[in-house]
Amino acid sequence: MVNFKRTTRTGLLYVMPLVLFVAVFMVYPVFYNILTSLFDWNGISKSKDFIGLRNYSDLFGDPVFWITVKNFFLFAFFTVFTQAVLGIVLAFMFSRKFYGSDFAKSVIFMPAMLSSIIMGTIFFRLLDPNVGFLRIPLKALGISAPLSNPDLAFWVIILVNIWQWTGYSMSLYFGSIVSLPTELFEAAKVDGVGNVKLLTKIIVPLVRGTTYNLTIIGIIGALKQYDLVASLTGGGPANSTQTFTTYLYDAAFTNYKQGYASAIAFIMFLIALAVTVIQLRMYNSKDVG
Amino acid sequence: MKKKITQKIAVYAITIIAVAIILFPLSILFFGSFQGNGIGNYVEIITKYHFHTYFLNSLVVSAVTVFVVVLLDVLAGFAFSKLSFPGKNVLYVFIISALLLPAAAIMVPIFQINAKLGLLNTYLALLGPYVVMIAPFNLLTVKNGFDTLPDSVLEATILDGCGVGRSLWSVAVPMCKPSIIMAVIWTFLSSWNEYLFAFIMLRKERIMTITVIPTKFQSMYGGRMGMLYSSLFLILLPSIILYFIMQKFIVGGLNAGAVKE
Repeated sequence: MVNFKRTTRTGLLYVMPLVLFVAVFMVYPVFYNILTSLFDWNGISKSKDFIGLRNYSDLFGDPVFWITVKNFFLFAFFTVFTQAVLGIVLAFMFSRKFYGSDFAKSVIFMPAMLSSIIMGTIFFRLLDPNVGFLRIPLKALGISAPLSNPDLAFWVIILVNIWQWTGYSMSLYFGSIVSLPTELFEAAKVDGVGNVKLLTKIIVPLVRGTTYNLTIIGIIGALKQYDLVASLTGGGPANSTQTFTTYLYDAAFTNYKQGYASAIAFIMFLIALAVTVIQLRMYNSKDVG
Repeated sequence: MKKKITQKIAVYAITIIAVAIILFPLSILFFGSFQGNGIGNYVEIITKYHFHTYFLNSLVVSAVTVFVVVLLDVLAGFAFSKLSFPGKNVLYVFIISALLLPAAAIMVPIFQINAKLGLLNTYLALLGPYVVMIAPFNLLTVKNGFDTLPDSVLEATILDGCGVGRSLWSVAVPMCKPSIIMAVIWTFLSSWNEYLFAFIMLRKERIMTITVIPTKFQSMYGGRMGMLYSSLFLILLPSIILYFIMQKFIVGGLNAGAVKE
C-alpha cells in the first residue's frame, strides 16, 4: 500500500461513483422486485392490489414456469459440459504450436466477440425448412424444420450456443495450460506418458480453477439466456424453449403482469445467490484458481 | 515414427473441421450478401435504409459507455489496489457481486425508473444498466494492472510532491496502458453487442441501436435474402475488424480477468 497522506477521503471518493451505480441499478431493483412481487399490477395504472404470495403460488402452479426451470438445467449442464470438453481438447492441441495453429485459434474464438442476436438470425435462416442451407443435410438425418419441433427446438439453441462459446472456453484453458511449468510436459515425455493420459490425469486436475470459473460463468449465462431464444424461436413452439429471461420479458411487456414478472426476477436472484454462496464456500474451503 | 505421423494428421484434421464449422455460417452470410444485386445490396442499404443512423446511435451509446465505465474502473481500481480506506474489502465484494447479476432480473425496475424520469427513448436510459452490467468485470482487469505496478514507483512521485490525483493520471495510468486498453475494448464490444436493454428502452426508430434492427429487417426486405444478409454482415463488420486488430488485448484481457480473482 502506498503511503499517501490522507488517502482515507480520496480512497472513498474514488470508489464512491461505482458503488453508487451498483446501489441504484442493482440493490434498488432487488428490493423493488421483492416488493412488486407481492402485488397484482399491470405496470401502468396507478393502483396496485396487494395479493401477498399469490404470484409465487401461481408461478409454482404454472407449467410454463417448470419448462423454464427444466430448460435452465438442460442449458447450463449441456453447454458448460460440452464447451469445457471441446475447449480443453482444442486448447491442449494448440498448446503445441504448429503451422496455422494461431490462425485456427483466433477463428474459433471469434464468434464469442460477435452479437448473439445476429448469430441467431443467421442460424434461423440456415435452418429455414424451405430455403435454408442446412435443410438438406438435416433431411438426410430424417429431421425437417427442427425449430418448429417442440422436442428439438431447445437443442438447436444449445448447439448454437456451443458453436458460439466453445472458443471462449478454449481461450481460457489455453491461457492456463501454457502457464503450467514446462518441466511437467518434459517429465511426461521422458516417462512416456501418452497424450490422453497427460490430458486427463495431469492437465485436467491442474486447470480445475479454469473449469470452475467457466462453470460459474456458464450457469449465470444460462440464467440470462435471451438473445438466441429471441432470434431462433421466440420461446415457441408451444413455449417449449422459454427461459427465465424470455418468460420474464413476456410477463412484463407482453402480458403486462408486472408483479408476476417481479416474482420470476426474485427467483432468478435466489438462484444467482445460491451460485454465489456455493462459489464462496468452494473458494474458502480449497484454494481453487 | 508412424505414430507421430498419424497424430499429426489427426491434429490437422480436427483443426480443419473445427475451423470449417466456425466459418460455415459466416461464409454463407458473406457470399449470400451478394445474392440478387451484388454489391448493389450494400449500396442500397447504406443509401436508402438509414443504416448510418442506427450505426451512429450504437457508436454514441458505446462511446459514452466506454468513457464512463473506464473512468469509474480506473478510479475504483486504483483505490482498491493502492489506497487504504475504511470498508475497502466490503465495498470490493459489493461491486464484484454484481458480476453474478442476471441482467434480466433488473430490467423491469430499470424500465420503471427510466419511465418515471422520462428517459425512455434516450441514450441515457442505457447508461445506468450498462455500467452495472459491464464495469465489475473490467474492474478486475484494471485492478490487476495496477496491482503489477510496484508501490516504490508511486512513492517516488510523492517525494516529487505529487498528490494522489497527479500520481494516478500522470504516472500510474500511462504505465498501466495495456490493461486499460483491454477494458476499453471489452466495454466497447459488450455494449455494441447488447440487445435486450436496447430493445426495451429504445422503441423509437431514429434512436434504435444497430443490434435491434435485424428483427425489423426480416420483414422489411420481404423475400430478398441478399439484402438481409448484407445488412447482417455490415452489423458484424466493426466487431470482426476490431477483433482482428486488437486480438492480443482481447485474449489477454480475458485471461487477466478470469485467472486471478
